[in-house]
Amino acid sequence: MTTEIASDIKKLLRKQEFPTVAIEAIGQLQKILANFVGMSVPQQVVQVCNEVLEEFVFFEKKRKKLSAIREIQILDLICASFQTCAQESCRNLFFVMFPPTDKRLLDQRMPILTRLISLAVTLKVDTILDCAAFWFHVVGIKTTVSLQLVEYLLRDLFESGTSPCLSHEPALLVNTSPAFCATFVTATTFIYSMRLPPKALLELLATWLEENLYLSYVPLETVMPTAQTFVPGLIRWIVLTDPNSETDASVTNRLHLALLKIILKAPQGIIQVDNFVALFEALEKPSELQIERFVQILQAALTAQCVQGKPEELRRVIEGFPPTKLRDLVLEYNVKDPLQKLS
Amino acid sequence: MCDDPFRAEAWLITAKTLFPNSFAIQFAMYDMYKGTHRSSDAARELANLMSTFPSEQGLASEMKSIAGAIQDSTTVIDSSRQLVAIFKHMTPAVQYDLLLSVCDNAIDITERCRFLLLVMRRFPESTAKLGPPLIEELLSNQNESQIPVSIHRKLLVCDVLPLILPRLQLPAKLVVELLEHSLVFYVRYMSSSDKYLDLPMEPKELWDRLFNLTRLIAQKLDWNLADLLETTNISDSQLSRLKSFGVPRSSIGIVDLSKSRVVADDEIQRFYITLVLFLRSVHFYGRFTSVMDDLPGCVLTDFRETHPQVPKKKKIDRGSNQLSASKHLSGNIAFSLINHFQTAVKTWSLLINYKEDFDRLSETVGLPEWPFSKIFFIDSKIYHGQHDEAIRMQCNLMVTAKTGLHERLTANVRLASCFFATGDRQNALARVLEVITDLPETAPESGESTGGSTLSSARNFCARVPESNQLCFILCSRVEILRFCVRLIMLCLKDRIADQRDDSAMGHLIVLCQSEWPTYETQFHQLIENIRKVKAFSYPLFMTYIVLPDILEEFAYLATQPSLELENSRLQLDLLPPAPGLGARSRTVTRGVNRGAKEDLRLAMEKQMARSEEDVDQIIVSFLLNEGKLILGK
Repeated sequence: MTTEIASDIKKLLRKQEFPTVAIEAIGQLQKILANFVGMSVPQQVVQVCNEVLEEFVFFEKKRKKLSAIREIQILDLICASFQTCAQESCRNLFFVMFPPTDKRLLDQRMPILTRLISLAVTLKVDTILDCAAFWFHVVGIKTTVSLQLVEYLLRDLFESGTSPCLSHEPALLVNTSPAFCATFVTATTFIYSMRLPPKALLELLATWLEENLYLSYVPLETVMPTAQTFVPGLIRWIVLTDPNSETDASVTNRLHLALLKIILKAPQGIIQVDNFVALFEALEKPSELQIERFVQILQAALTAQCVQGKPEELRRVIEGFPPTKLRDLVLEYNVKDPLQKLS
Repeated sequence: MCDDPFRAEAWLITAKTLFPNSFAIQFAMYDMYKGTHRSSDAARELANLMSTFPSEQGLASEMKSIAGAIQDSTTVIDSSRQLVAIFKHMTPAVQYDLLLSVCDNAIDITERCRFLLLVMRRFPESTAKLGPPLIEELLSNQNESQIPVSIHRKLLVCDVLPLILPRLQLPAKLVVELLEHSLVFYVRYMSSSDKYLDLPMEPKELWDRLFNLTRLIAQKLDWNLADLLETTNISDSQLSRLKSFGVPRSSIGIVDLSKSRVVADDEIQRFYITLVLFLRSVHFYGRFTSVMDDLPGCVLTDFRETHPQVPKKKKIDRGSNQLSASKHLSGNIAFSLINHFQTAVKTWSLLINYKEDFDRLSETVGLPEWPFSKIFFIDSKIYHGQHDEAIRMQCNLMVTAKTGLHERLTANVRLASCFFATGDRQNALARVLEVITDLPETAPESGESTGGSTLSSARNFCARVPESNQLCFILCSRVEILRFCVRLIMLCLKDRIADQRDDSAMGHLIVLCQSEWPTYETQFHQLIENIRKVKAFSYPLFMTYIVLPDILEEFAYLATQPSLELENSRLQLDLLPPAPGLGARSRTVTRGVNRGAKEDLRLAMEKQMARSEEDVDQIIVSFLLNEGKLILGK
């Protein structure tokens, strides 16, 4: 792409006023990036795009900070334009807007990103959410950037007075973008790694799982063998839930049941033995119900043969429980091959 | 185990992983889904169970419950509806397997048959595979049991065949065999005391079913005469289509089911169609002529005379066979009775050509056990004018069969008809007098002439004097039987006075003329004319039996008026009974001389008038009973 075309575009755009200018700009960028579907975008093009963005979309060249209203308007039209474009070209644009590799630019645009995702959740824009899910994984779910973003979203969704997306039909979100929901929950499991998340989140997750039981296995567009799931996190949450302090046991029960079913269909390697060991050690005076749930989860994992790690350690964990019928059965049943099949 | 359904399910899932081969655990999961109305989960579990534990008893009984629930689609029982919901969530392939499994586990052929029918109704494409073996099995069970209306035959004929026949092409020989089974079943069923709740009770509906089935079979066998099954009254042109040409080939009959070559033959279809038409017509003939709730039964009477003077006279041709039925019968019944009788007679004349086959089937179907079958044969002889044969058969029947009052009455009526038709007056009269002794009681319905003045009701009867040449089914009611007797006796007596003067015969006639007055008024006036001509009339029974005012007045007139032709003589009327103690010569005679005698007669007439309110029919009956010998005469 030549600088000529670039400057032509800029000239064209300078003639226009807001909001048309922004819409037009995004449209142009989409057209440009459509040429690079399925491949990586050359640096030069990225450069040009960012120039356009800076000047005409995000108005970053101006000294003044954007007013709140202006910001919302921009976000709104970004949503609108993403709603109409195709998946692949959207992704390219998204990554140009919020480049994982350009730290400076990313930092600058983080607020925008955060609010954009929030708005996309409210408006249920599936393209943006799918891009976001993918973006999280590219950046790395456990990274500070991701976690901060997710934290912000959590606050936004659960604590703010107005949470329109949750006040009605929360389940719809999981139908709009299962990838986003799965990724979101996975990130949350890292934020609340050894403690329980807000009850509202658990309830939301329970509802989502009722809609889509195998949410955790939603494939992201490109196969990502390193993609994390929320399964280990969910295991932790369930086992750590103290039934005595629960006011409403049904949520946990629902989640536990869903979890068992999920584990039974789990692919190899989804849980590590170390997770179980750590969890076991973190339990202090577990109640009968907690033990029951833990052992059931272990049995399911053994049956599905999805645990990675040393079998002896797992055995040690099981033996570590006070003897119950269930525990004995599990030990007896898995005495031979299953434990040894752990790779 | 625990209240929370999620916890319970978690346990069951875990248990299933620990004991993957345990039927009990997986069935418990199915049960749990069923109990919580999660039909699609239950269906999935059940499908798993079916493939993993195909021979478990618990599973078999659950599947049977489901099949049972589906059969009764209108159930309101909650548990059944739940089962139906589960079934609906299964894929068709699994549904089919389930039902087939239930069939295999059925305890007996009856149950298996019911479930197989269910399968074939839901999965029509399976008919070809499941139908023929089912038919074979039912047939072999039937052949073993030999009960005419066994459940096997019932299932075969009423349920299986109507479903399967339209869909499959079965070998022709088998289809003919099935036709025979159907015939036997329906016909036997109508006269049996065993009842099946899902079959109709009315004979008409049962016959309709049989005819529908026969039509279906005829269609399958490409019989071109099948349209004749639509008629109830077979016309002559239709009859000619049924006529067979030539004599059957083998001595066993045309339908030899042991031979494989059977059904391309036209003979076969003629036989069966004729047979079926015959049986139905005879059946309805029997129903309408038998004693039922509101019908006293009918009997065929024949007033046609063959003339012995013309020995070469042909058999009465059909044109003059004016068959009618009593007007006391409702229009529908009368019409049906006549139709069916004629059809039966015509088809019977064709069936004679298939003697062996007919004999075999009529035996199987139980025709000889029908009380009216023998009577039909007699009636058909009467219809064809073969009275001698009819007489012989009827006398035979009276000797061999049971004779209650009704049978005796009708037998004698028939015999009287036949004797009369052959010209044997004496025997006819003798039989009529027998009839009178068995006369039924007066029925409480209107239309009977009861006592008093018969003028008004008599006028209604005017139109009912049958034509002189007629075959008629009359009701076995007092009125009609009596009318028949009176008419027959009068015809005989008329003969007697034709050639010679016979006062007692004339007197008898006058007594009888009172019946249903003024029906016979004309006859009466003719008799009066005769008396006038002869100028004398002696009838000692006059006062005993003649009560009608019109007649009495006529006689009074005769007695008093001078004859116009012979001024000097008066009519001699000798009507008073012999006075006790006096000799014959002292009988008063109304010659002008003995004025006392004339006065006596006048007084006697006046006195007789007082009797005008009496029941004429009763008088006639007593007359016939008491004076029977006289009537029989020389």
